[in-house]
Amino acid sequence: MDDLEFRRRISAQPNSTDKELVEFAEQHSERQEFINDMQAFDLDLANALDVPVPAGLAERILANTAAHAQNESLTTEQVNQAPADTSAQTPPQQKDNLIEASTRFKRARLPLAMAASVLVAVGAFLFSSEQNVAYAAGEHALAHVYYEINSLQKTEAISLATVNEKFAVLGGHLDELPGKVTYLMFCDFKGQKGLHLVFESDYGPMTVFIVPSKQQSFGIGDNDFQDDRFEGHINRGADADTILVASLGAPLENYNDRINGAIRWLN
Amino acid sequence: MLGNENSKSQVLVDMAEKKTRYEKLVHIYHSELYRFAYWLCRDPNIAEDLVQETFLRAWRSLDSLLDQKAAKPWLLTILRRENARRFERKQFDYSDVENDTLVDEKSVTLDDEMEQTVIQRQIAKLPDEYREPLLLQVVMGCSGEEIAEILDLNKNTVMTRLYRARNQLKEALSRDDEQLKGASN
Repeated sequence: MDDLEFRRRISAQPNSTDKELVEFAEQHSERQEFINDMQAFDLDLANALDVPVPAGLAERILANTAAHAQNESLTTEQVNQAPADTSAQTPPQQKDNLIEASTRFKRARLPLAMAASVLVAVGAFLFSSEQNVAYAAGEHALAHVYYEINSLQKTEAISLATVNEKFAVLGGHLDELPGKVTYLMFCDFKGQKGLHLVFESDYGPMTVFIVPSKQQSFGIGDNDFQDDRFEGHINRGADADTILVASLGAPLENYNDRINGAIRWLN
Repeated sequence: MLGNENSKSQVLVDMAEKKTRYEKLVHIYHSELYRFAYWLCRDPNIAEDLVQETFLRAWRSLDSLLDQKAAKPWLLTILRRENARRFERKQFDYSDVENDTLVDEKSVTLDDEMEQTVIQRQIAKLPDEYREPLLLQVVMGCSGEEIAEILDLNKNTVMTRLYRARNQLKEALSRDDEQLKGASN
């Protein structure tokens, strides 16, 4: 591989973990710098492309599908019914079909009611997660994790240098992280810009929010929180609150100490 | 008669499973698909319509999705086809990104916002053949292989286009920068 090819390949995939590329980069600090530049550029791109998703979109999709599925199941039942009708009586009358349709509709009410109740539940959840003023810090953290749930599926590594480039904007520095960072984003926490990152641990992906404590975005509520999938801990510091969210059952305390021990504030 | 009842309850169980599977897909992928759709058409309303239509079609043919891991390329293929259909039906006017109001609630500082607008404008100007692989990679987190499969290209071509996309963007952005400096002098 020569430098030209190296640059082409990194430009095509800045977060590539290809062994050949990594080893080639290690031979020269300039090459490593090129990787860092391209990774930082990619984060800028990702942030620029991250347009807001309309509130309640998932809810509307499910409602739309439920409505269509309802109509379609009515039509299918009518069609299925047709051959039986013809065998029972000679030529099927349109009138009969009309009666069929109305009796089918009665039967279809149960699933319709079920779909409606699911929608109400989904709506209630979405609504509650949007009232972002008075509810507790733990819920806020969990809602944010669910909002960007795809962040837990990323696998490409982001270098510590790139993390620190972003973190420096908030006036902080990380000496290390307990695992490979796979997601990095500036996010809004009740009006406060904070860092949202995900790293890989032995217990699956873990989310860390580092949010300056100025606005008290995580001011109210218990330090420990959980639901049926995740658990988390809030470390309230003088400069910032650090929130760690992991899968249920992970040794939170251990990771919490390591992360908080690695944060330094540059002021 | 009894057998009929059993098969009916089996149908209900299958239906419930299908629904759970489907709801999971919607929750996992709707945001990314919306963003991808938005950058294909650059109109929030058309983007939402595209995502709605994509999921509706996905619901209808959910049985053909055998491997849940293949869901992302599968949904993207449906969405791209829907987008192409839109052009067959009617040629929409493209709104220029400069006139769009892209309010990103996540960015808070003015500097960040300006920088993002500049980048957004340049991304919008990229030729489709470069923009689409880049969107698939950055917005959807697709691998080179997945992009090749979705766009029906070979992987080398995908890599070349990704390289050119970033190269063109970098060049355009540094030109913007120079113009800005020139203007402030």
